[in-house]
Amino acid sequence: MWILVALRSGPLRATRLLDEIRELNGWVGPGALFAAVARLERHGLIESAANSGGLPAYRLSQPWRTAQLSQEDHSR
Amino acid sequence: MSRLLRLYPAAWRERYDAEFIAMLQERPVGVTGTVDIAGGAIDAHLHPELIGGAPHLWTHRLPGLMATAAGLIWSWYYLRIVLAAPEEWGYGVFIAMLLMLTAVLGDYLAAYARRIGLTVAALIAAAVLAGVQPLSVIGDGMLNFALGAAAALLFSGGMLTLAALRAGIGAGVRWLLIAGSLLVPVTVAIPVMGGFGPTDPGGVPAMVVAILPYGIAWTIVGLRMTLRGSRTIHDAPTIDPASEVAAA
Repeated sequence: MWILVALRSGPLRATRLLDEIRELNGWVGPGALFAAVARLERHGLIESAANSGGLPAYRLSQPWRTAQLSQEDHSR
Repeated sequence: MSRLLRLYPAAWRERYDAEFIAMLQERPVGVTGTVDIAGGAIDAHLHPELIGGAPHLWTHRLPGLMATAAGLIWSWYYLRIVLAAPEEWGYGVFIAMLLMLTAVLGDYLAAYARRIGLTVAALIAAAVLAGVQPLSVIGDGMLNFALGAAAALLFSGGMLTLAALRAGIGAGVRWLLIAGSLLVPVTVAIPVMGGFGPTDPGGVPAMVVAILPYGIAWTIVGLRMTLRGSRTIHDAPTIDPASEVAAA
């Protein structure tokens, strides 16, 4: 859940994602983070994208991004 | 610290190794983090489907065999008391109960690993039983005896019901099993029972009537569970993002 909230602002590398979640919801370990990331990826809620730094960045999957954009349009 | 990653399955490491190592270099972990990583590794082994592997298949056979063994030990134990050594109290009944508890919990945990509440409830029931029963022995009042008996009946009936559910036995037969192995025998036996032990007057026939059917019922349920043996796939339900968005 907090991963989805953290990724609303845009793609994040795993370490940055960890930092964001710790800011949002307190301490979380790397084991728990990757377990959650693997589940969200499998369910198609997030996806990894190539990053210039070599390591992938995670972002919300296409349907969620579309929904987010339309929600932002509505709020304008 | 990155040696910890060897705990993870190979497929998992292939997918996440680089990011994980980078994360550990940037955010070193302490003892809590180490425990967390070990937990994550166990989770990865339990759920290979998360990284494209085939999900683990679970079977009722092992719990079924344990339940059958529990029923047989229970029956053998009480028959032995009656037929051979009425003065002997051994550990057979405790072994049988431990097997029953393990069979039920094991089968539920295999299929519903996330339903920890059920496990906790079963353990609390066991603790309550363990706590209340000695009271019924220590105290001399009828209330204590009634409390102990009620706890034992609830616990025994609950365990048998859960095992029967896992064995795929329908509601009607389940109730027959409970009534035939617990409610009726205990109701019949209590007025006959002259004491608590097999050496007390009337104790032996009352014990046979009251307790043996429970062992037989467990044997039946255990065999049914073993023969059912259906391999059930434990996998998380797939979430369709499009329908989730539409619903939102």
